[in-house]
Amino acid sequence: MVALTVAVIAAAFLIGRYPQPGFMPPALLLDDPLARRVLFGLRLPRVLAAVLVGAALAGAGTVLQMLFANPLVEPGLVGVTQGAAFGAALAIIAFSAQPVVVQISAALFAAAGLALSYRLARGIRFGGWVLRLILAGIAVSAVYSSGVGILKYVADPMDQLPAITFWMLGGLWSVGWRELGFLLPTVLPSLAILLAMRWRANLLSLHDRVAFSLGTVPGRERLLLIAAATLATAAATSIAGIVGWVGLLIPHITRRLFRADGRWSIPMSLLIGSSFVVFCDALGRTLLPGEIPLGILTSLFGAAGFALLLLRPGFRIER
Amino acid sequence: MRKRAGERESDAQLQQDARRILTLAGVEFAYEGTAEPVLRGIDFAVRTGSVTALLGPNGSGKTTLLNLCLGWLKPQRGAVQLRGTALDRIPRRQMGRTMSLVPQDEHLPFEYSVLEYVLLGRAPYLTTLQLPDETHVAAARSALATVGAAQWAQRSITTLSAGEKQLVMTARSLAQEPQLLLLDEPTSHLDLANTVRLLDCIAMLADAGVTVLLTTHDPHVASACATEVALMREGRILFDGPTAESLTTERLSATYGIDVEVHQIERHRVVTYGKPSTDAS
Repeated sequence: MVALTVAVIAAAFLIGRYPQPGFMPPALLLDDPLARRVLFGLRLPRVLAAVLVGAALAGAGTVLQMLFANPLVEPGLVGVTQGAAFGAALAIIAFSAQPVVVQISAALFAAAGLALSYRLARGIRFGGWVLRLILAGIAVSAVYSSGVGILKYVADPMDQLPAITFWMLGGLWSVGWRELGFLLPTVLPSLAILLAMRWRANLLSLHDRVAFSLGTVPGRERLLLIAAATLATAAATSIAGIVGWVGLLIPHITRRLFRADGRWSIPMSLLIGSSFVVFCDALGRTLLPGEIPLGILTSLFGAAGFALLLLRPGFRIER
Repeated sequence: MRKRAGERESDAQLQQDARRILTLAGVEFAYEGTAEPVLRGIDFAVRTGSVTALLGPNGSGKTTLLNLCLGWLKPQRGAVQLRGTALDRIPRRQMGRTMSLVPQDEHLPFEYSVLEYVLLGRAPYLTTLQLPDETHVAAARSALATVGAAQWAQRSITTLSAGEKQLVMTARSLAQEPQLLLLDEPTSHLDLANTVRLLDCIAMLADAGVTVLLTTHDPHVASACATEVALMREGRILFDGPTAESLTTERLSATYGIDVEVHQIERHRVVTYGKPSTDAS
């Protein structure tokens, strides 16, 4: 899987529309200075950002699904993604488009979205846990969406509106080394926490009382993992906009291909997630002369893939 | 921290503690936001090496009492002590090595293998960032073998029947190598054969020196496995003593609030209730 991921990254590095659509022969790097500039100045940071975004979204999805003991949890379905988008839009209008401010605001509202969904789900008096959390997430996401709508309405159409619209589509076209520099310090530590606690996360997928009986402090450990997952998602979203379905589809695929145990599912979902986003991004910038936004492609493949998964004979979700 | 009742350290007290693994003194408990306590005036002890059953009708507070023993719930009044030390003074991991819980049922959303699931019982022997190694896997396998489920190691837990799941949950608790095993209604989802299998397993653990505390609403289960039975009704312990003294016609009738009769058939105790069968000769 590691080899496959590296191969996808290397291929994406060489795929693009320069000098012609398709593969660039590596030999060109040696004698074409423009090719070097395109690859190392533009394409490399972008591919690396895609790696981080994919790993962050898929890893967060896997861990959140475990923590909520709910295979339908996805950052986009429980208010995290919409919350991040709202926070980012708010920061763009109210403060500045400084990436640090945007990221902090996105992270705060993403966490608030998750907390709100969770509280609401706990308060619903009918249905199983899976259903309740999804219903609550839909409601919270919709509130945030309309909030984003209001913000777009009052935004400066010359300057702020395009920046906000960028969120809704999701894409990596503006990512350079500078943006990558903002992504690294938040995403890497978060992913390190998720990886370090990959076995521990299994314990937290059990009922709190059982996790407690196993000598854990479920509240505290759960909070740490939720914070890491939310931070990674918010950082990825603040750079790449709404990149949907990665956090839902990739964990399911990973658990099917490998094991449900976090020792396998967490690291593997990081690899598969980054391969998937790198692939979609490469496709998006190569296929047409004008770029296809990343979020559109991940949603297309992600939703279609999930639909196929639902129809598989062995697939089931309880409650 | 509030001074708890029963924190006296006289010699007599220490001697008593050696024979009692768990003691509850003057415990009162009400769930948050409710005025009416679920448990009142609970003075109760689990003797080291015993199989103690909490027996009573649905809603009598058995599971709440079990959760207090686990430390998952904290009493508003009174003290719960493990060998003379208040539960919340004991480090969490040490608690995990001393006491383990088999819940009534467990929602398992992901397709863990049975071995991966049982391995979770090794958590109290690992630090937060440690991964289980071969010795932990061996301990998990041996726990599975103890309940007679070694052959299921690679099966997915989502494919287990209710009876198989109960045994696997028990194995997960045994991987903690506990001195005190708490079982919450262990037989309520099981058919006759699986009930017998589980009771055999409890008897074997008791022989191995594990103290067992279980809740049940079935007097036959208590009769079949317990050395001591505490009878519970409406949040109180009506009687607490050796099984033969607890399971009498008068005491069981008072516990369930209906007329029952306890009969001795050879070495078995049988509880009869309701109208006699119409086809009986």
